[in-house]
Amino acid sequence: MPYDLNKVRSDFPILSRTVHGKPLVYLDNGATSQKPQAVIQALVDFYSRHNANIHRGAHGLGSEATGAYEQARGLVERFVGAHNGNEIVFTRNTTESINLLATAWGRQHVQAGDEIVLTAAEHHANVVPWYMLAKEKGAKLVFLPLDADGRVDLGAAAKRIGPRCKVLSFAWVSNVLGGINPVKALAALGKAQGALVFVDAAQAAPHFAMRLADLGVDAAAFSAHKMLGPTGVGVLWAQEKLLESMEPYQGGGSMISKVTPELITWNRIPWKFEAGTPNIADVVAFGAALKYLKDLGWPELQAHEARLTAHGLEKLKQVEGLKLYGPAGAQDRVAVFSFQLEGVDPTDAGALLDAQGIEVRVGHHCCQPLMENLGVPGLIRASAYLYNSEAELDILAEGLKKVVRTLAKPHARA
Amino acid sequence: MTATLPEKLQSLVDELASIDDLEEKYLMLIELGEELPDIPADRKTEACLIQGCQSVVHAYATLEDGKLRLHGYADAKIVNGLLALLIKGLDGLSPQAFLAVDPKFIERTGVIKTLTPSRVNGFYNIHEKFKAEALIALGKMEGKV
Repeated sequence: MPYDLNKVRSDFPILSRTVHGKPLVYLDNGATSQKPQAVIQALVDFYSRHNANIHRGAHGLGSEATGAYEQARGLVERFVGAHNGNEIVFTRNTTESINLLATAWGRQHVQAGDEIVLTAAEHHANVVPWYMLAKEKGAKLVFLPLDADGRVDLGAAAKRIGPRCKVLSFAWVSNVLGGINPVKALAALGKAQGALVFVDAAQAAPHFAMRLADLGVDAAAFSAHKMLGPTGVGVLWAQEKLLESMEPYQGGGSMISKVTPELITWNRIPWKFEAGTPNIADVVAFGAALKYLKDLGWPELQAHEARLTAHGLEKLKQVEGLKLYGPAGAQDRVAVFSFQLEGVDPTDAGALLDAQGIEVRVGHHCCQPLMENLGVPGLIRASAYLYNSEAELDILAEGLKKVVRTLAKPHARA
Repeated sequence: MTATLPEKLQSLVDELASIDDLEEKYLMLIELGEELPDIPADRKTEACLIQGCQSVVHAYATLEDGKLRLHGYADAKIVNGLLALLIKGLDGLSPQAFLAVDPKFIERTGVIKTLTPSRVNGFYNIHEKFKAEALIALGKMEGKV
């Protein structure tokens, strides 16, 4: 089926609004995506017709709500290619998923002298929870270097991942550089040393169909809001055995089997890790997002984004003074473009683009170690998604040229 | 909130407020900033660095013949423009007159609601720095009396 971009765009109500009187060109999808009407409607439907707490009510509404919530888990299970729904834990976001793993698994297994191996391009969400664990246990954080394209240097990784490596945790796709890391090869290096291998899939899940169980990793996480779903829903996928072996992360209702004054036993997975009333409506609406993506067709979506990536690379090359970071080849990256404009402060560029209706992100992108590595205080990032058009990337390139013209020439006030 | 502003500041605020197009507003700020002289290298110190700004901003005040003289420079041009608005609008007032101006005048210009919170804070932090120096200046002057 051909990709009908106009139809896709018409599914997203927000795309027809203006910003500062200019048509919205939304290129901050790496931060969060916009939502199609189907997802907005799923939220309205849930609260209008099915709202009740789950896994407890002996009434019809409770059954409907529980059914809808668990149905969404089934959609996630199929999306990631999990063995079964027990491997899918709903959290608040990727950050919470990583905290869960670092706390529940890490405290049980990581000891003084162990190494927790990350890469130099990790988001703070995949650094800080491990740092906290390392500090508590006397373990050491190791950062794998990047190659010239900004992806993990596999040769260096092979040398650096040794017998002390207890955890190997890395992003599939860099939120700044857009580079796609060689997950299987890297995971194999960690598994060869008996390490727990975790993949931060927050920037991968929105862009390609995943078969997490085929990657040779133990666990992965991503967020609903970056892939058309609502905010407040994250997923931790982990091998069943791993989840079974872990102690709970948080205590409370739903995660218990039996509570007596003397002894408390835990519920089965995945509910063992879902203490308290979960984010029911948003999980249900995330199901609608996954359904929307599936109906759109992952191959079609990927082909559209590959066109955007190639077009963006071409257009940005034509902006004078623009230095692009990340892989040069379109096949090695997603449509995320981070760059500097010579002599232009990123915050000025962000404000002047915003005034033209072009929404990008500027700053350190929650990646301060990477910024230090690249020797820059911050970057401008334009990140496209399935509803963006090549024409919008043309507007970005023209907008950037205008920014350069505005900031480069001296202006004498009359 | 409707307190009268010093004449020079009032005219700059009015001019900014009269511009509808946000790009043009930013352009006016950038131009204002370009009229600011850079500050001496020995003033670009930690003591003059404004905290809480995404970009590097230095600002300080001096007291000359009972008047508060404002100085500063920012690397980023829009922040430099906000700094210039304060300096051009409020330079040369007595410390008392400076302290009588509520920095919320910036809301009337229509630029602040479009800026990120960190830059909004940046503006208020620059004003705070000048205010602190105005209070010190006032103390010195009153000590003399």
